[in-house]
Amino acid sequence: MKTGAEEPQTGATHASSGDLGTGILLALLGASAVFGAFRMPLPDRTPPLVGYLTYPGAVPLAAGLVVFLGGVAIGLGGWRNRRRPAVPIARAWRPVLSSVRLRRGGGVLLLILLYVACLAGRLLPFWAATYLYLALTMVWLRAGTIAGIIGISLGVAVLLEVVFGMALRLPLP
Amino acid sequence: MLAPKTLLYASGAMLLGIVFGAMPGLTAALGVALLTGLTFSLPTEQMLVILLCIYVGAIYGGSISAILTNIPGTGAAMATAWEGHPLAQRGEAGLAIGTAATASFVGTLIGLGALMIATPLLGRVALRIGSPEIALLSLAGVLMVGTLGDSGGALKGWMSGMVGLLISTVGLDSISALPRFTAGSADLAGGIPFIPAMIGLFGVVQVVDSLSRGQAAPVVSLPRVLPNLRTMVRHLALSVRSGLIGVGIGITPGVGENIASLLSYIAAKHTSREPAAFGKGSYEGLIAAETANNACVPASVIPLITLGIPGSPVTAILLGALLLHGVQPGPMLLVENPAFLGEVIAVFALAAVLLFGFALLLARPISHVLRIPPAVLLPIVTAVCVIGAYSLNLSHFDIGVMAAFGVLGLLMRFGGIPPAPLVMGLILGPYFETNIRRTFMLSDGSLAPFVTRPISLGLVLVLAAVVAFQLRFSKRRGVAIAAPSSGAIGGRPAEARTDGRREPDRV
Repeated sequence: MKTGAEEPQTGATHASSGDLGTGILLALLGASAVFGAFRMPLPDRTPPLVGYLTYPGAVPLAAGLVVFLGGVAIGLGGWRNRRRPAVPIARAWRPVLSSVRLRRGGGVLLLILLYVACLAGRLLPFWAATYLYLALTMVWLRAGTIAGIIGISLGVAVLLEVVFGMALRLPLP
Repeated sequence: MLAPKTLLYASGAMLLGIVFGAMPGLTAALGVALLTGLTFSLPTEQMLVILLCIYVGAIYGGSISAILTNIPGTGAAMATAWEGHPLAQRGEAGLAIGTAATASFVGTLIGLGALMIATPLLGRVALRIGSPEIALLSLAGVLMVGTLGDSGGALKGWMSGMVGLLISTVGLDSISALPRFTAGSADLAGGIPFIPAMIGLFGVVQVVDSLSRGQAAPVVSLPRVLPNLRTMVRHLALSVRSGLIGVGIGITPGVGENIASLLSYIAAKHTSREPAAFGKGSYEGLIAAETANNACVPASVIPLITLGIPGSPVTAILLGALLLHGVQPGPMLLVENPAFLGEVIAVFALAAVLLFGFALLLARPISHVLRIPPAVLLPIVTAVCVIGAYSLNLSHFDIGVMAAFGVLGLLMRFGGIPPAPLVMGLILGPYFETNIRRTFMLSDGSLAPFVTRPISLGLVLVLAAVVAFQLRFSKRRGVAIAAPSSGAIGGRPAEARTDGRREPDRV
């Protein structure tokens, strides 16, 4: 069993160079929220102060501003520490990025997104999409023999259809 | 409550909860989020039975894998792994699980007592609460969970909460009906659906993360499990103190079981006559952690019922479930629906009894579930997540929301940003916005209500103190952005990260 050797340490105790990217993303999100909030119409109210404080964009504007400022602070912290050699987040993620874990996780995420696309786009019925998703994921993760994987996938897909769709009468996607 | 159908639901939910808690990769939050969607069509009482039983069961279930495999099934079982696994290695696995089950039972009873006593008292205070206080309490929930989260720094936690608050504003404005951030989409006009977002943040992220590790199914063997009443009686004072710590943390908005078990564990270590035994298989440590995390569960419902503010991330999901069923938690709930508290108390009492019975009788069969390879089980969980996300509104858009929040959750994990504050922001955002706007409307734009009303003023001072303390704490440590990681809190960072398979922000 794999243990903590590959574990990413997200519980960082120092601002890290990786925070620069996080900060930029947050600042961009905050800025776009502020921009969006400014474009919302001001209702006519008297006195005007009440209009400003209660218009639909007031809370998004305030939250966007806080996110923008927080993003700048996090980004600056990351910028100041860009050359720090021992950075917990970056150091911990480095082996993950270059390891088999990224491929495994990336493959699984891709399969989940394909599964969701099939269902959200109504390309396949639930049982067929589920069967394909389960089979492909188990093959990708080498969960067993091909015959076993096909059997389990088909069995589970049918079971889910029967239990949720027929017994519990829940509409399935 | 004792109708056969209700008992059947309660038993099934308890069993499912223990299995969810025991399986690394499945969490209490995921279980409650999943079942929220699936129980939408049931009456409120049965929904409550299912969700509370799964919550109680999952918090205990985490101890099974923690003791047997040294992998905490939930974040709340981290300290349990530190003491329980050494006991299992000494050949005392059955006794350790029996102790954990007994401690969980006692903890749930202590939490239940607090629920019975504190809720009416807090309910009376809550009747004096108006819009300014609700707005401040909502903000406090977001900030508190941001400050005390497991991973990342306080600033990142706060930002996560603010992003959640921002996301909660997507859709038609509740007061003016003006579309906000909808980009002309009819789906987005209805807002971001809460449950699919939660399933994505907790479910998809957990599935991808767990499967990327490539773990094999652990080899587990469990002898007979017996209750360990003698040890519990010997450490009665410890049990009561741990339970009270759990209650205190549970009542604090937005903190939850993970912190409760760690704080209780630290307190037990500091006051123990044998602190050196901690980390090598101490029953005191095990009792402290398990009593506190289960006492926290009923206690975290107290602020939910009285103030409408969740006491933990899981109760935040519970809040969403109640709102879906037309139950509006908050100061008026006990006035408009006085029987509700009795129902919740009865459910917790039933859950405590079922927990004790199931924990002792079914621990061995449940331990066999741990043998299912994650590569088989977790893809199936994804399919159930899809059903849960879809079934609420019968909307294909919701499945997309689930996937989008899954990707967002992975990016947040990558950047060290805790997801729990985002959940809080997403849920409490509408409360905050509606009440702060209402306050300004009623006061003609004046800030006076926030400082002239005693409860408001107190909340403002508490919020200011929390922010100031956290900033000062960060500065003292010489870093710009810092918060204690759970490993550091427990004083066992190395063990937590290597052997204990630390999993940030799992609830």
